[in-house]
Amino acid sequence: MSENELAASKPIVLPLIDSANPEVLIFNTTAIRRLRDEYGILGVLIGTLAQYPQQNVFLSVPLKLMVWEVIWLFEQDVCVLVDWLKYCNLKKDAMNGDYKNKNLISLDKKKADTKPDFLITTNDYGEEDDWELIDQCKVTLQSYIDKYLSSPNCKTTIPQLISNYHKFKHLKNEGYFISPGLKFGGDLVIYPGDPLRYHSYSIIKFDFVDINEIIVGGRLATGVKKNMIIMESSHAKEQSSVGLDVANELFSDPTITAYSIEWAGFG
Amino acid sequence: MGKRNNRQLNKIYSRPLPITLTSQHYGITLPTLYPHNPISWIWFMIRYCQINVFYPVPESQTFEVHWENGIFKVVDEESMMKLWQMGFFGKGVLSRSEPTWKERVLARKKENVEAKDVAMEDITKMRREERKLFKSSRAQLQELELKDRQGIITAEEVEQLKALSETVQVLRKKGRVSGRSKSSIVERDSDGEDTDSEEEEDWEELAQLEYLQLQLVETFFLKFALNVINIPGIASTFDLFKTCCYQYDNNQSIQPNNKFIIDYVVYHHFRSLGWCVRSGIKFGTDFLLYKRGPPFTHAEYCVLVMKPDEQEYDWFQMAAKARVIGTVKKIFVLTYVGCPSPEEFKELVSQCEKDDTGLAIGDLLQQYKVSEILYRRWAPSRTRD
Repeated sequence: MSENELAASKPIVLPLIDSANPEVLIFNTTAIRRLRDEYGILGVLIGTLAQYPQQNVFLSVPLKLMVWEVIWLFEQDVCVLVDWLKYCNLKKDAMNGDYKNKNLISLDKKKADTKPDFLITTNDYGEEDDWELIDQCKVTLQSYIDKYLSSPNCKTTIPQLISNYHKFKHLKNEGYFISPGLKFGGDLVIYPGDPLRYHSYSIIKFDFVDINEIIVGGRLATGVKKNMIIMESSHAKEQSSVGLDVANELFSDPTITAYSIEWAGFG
Repeated sequence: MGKRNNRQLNKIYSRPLPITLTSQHYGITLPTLYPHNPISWIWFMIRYCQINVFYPVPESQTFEVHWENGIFKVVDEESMMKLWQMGFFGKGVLSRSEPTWKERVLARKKENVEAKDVAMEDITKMRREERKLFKSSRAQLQELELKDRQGIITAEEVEQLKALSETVQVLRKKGRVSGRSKSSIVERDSDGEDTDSEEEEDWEELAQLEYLQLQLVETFFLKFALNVINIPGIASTFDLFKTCCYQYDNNQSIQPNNKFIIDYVVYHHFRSLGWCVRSGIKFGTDFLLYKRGPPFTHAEYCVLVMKPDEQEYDWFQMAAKARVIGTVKKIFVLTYVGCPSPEEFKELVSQCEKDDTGLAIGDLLQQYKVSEILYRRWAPSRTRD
């Protein structure tokens, strides 16, 4: 227990895998547990096995965090974002030729001395985090967001990200457990408590492109015994993205208004 | 729907489009053709030529459509009814689809007199109320049964239990029957004319507040493809075409990927393949395809017209739509429309401008190509076995 207590005082390490397409993937089960128990951050378990491809009820590590969850943890000041490749390479150097470290297998024996540009991780890397090295590999929120926005799959703009984060934060601070809502065609699904114990009753949609989405959303939500929530932030959206202090903007607290939509007359 | 009812419906909705055929107009039919009998071939040819030469093509009835505040309206009661019965065009603005508002109001006004016609909306209402009653009595019944099992039931409650279980049984049976065969529909009078004088008076008193609203594509189809409507203020087919296009393109030049043109191409495509096409807005799609029409069967397909590249639907929208459509047991059809190049389009439009008959629009629309893809939501764990 004393170990756990010790760990609890430390911030949670969020490994940033592949800095070009930034993805926070957590393999450390202790960290996953702390996120869920202490902060109500669910993330999505995405690990599956080749032998068991239809396993889709409970998946395994790694845990993938949504961008808003990462920002929220930053705002609570309870996490550090770490460039995991750099960290592992530094660690390997520090161990100086001690090849017991199974995280760092270089396929080519000749190149064993050069730094590999890939990463092999097991479920639990089994070692204590080296805080000195972690301090060297910290990634700031600003650079994480910059990388997130410039990644090819990302279609969000900075003002959108800020306003969506405000909505997320509002819900999170209301005490809801939040998971992504793609399976219900929304942006988020909120639960009144841990999803393993409670059913969700709301689907969140950040913004609408056309009116059909209200029809579809309302109909879908009512069909699965939920309601649909549209949110509006008082934060001024039209701001030039140049020279914007993103972190400050993100951590501001605008007023959020929420509207719920339900289909009437369905049994 | 029961057999007898179907016959009634067949009579009311005998014509799939609001056009008059020569055979119907003059009451003549072509002789039966026996493929193995050459004489029947000759006789068929003779009759065919006769009919084409001696009987002029009958004029179809034209309907008056008004263009007001961006809406195409049909206000005349007879036209409203005919456009609905022949091809299911338009929507009554105070009804679910068929313009039944006046009928329903009249039925409500003379509640003491037994209603002859029950509108679809009323059936839905009745069913929902029945269901509510069923659910509440079932809940009560389950509660009492639980008490019974626990042995804490009183004599009074035993009586109640018996009565409830009967009610639930009756309701359950009723729900099944009325859900499937709609036995609660009172049949329409086959003559439909023997209304007594009292009713006649009521009919006169009540002003028709409802009008039939036509979609842009429906209006253009009635004008361009069938030529059975007349719109005061919009004389030629090309004027109508432009009016419809400007609903989406505000700048005065029409683009090849104008939403109206794309929608119309899809609408015309499915209409010409014999489907009854209606708006699919209630499921968040563009069109619904009915085999014959709403009174006969449920729609089988939901058609979504895919937008041109820049404004594609994202996965959230697709997932939501597919899920809604999946739960109502329809098939989701994505239609992609290939447009002509801007130069080609410009040239064809300028040709349309010179042409008074409106036939050049046909050449223009022929440049569009439609292709369909079926999309289905599939959850591997649920679909197994």
